[in-house]
Amino acid sequence: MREYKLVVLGSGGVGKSALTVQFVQGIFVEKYDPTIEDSYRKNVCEFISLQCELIRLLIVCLQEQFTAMRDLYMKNGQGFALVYSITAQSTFNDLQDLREQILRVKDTEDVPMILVGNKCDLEDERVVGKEQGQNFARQWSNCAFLESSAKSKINVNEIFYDLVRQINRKTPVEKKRAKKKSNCILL
Amino acid sequence: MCNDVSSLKCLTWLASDNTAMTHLGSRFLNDVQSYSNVNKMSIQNLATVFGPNILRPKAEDPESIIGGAADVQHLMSELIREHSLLFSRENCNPPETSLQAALPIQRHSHLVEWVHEPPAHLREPLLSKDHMVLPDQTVACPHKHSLPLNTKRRESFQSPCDKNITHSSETEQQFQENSSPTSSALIYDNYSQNSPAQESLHTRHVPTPSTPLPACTSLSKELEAGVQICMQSRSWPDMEEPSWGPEKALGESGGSSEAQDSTLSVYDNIVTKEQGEQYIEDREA
Repeated sequence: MREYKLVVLGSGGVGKSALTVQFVQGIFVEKYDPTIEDSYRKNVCEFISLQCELIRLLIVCLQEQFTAMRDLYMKNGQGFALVYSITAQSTFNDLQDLREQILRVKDTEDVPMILVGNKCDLEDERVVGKEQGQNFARQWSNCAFLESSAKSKINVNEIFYDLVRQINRKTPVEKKRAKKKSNCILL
Repeated sequence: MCNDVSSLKCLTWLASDNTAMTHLGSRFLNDVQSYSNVNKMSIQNLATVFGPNILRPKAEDPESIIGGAADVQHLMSELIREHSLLFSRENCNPPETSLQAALPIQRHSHLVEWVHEPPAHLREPLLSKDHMVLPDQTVACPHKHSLPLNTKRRESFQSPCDKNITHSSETEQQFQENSSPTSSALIYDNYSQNSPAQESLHTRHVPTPSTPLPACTSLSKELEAGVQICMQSRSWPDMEEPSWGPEKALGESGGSSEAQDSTLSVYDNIVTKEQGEQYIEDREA
């Protein structure tokens, strides 16, 4: 079974855990309970390839201020969801640094990544416009962008499926098989 | 509760400027939590976020942070909740004056020692000589108190309040004997069998084993087992999947077990059982 290591990052209180719990368990957690680090695992059917292949998603939510752990998971993670809250400008501004750090740790521009504007159900409290998010994503070498709501279950699954798709595009499954075959021909 | 507070007696080992800072900080956080119905930052939540930043492990690796998280959160919440009680002794030594007095002398040493100082000074036998000196230092002159802080921080903090020195040294010893084996052992035990506390922390969001997938039963069993493992915070680095091979070679994963052994000693500011016993042995000698 193929495994995908996804990391959800963002400032405190933007709804990283809420998104992940909604995706993994289908529940909206109303209570605020700050996470230092939590891991989740979910097996899903991959619809992208022709066959319905079972894949396993390992998802880690990280509070942004614990830098030691952030580095570790940045190194090991394959796909990154950078989450901000559309109701707080500062959470949006924080993401630039995070992205730069990921690129630095990964030492490449091409990292499977998605920019997520969470809490889009709170339209009345919106501070960060949708265009702002889109522009930001465009600057990030056309990174994927979604506005989501863990509470109203908008675009929750899409975040994680999109990351899986990006990872597949970057490291196709066939590549691995081809490598194995080529090992035999080496003689 | 009593144990919790007494385990925070390590506060008395802090220099006066650090004590003042801790006091102000915890008082401020207590103010913040009084609006928790609006800002959702209850004492528990504040402790989760601020604890790891205040009670820092010596080695800032994920295993140390996660391993001590439950204890750190617990201590931090007590610090916020009981700040008025814990720092009440300061009334006879106002933070402003002690700060002024201590700053020029101690600035350099304590910025460094805060984290890196070995807990060796705990094991130093208490010299009765120090206590003999103390009566000369009056409360009216906080500058004098700051001077011995460089060497005997603990005594200097207690001195302004301990009017009856001989009596206090006796009670203090009793206090040490009573509290350090119990309270710090409590921390230690908590830690060494850390799984119950930590699991309860991490199983909060355990995905229900009933998978949405119509997959075979053996798989769901495997998942069930997998869920248990993955809820442990170190799930990723510990993964023993061949696909992790190249990344494991980087060394983060291998480090987890050894880091676990050394985690508690990594906290300078939490007394381990051994240290506590050693301290008492030294004192009795």
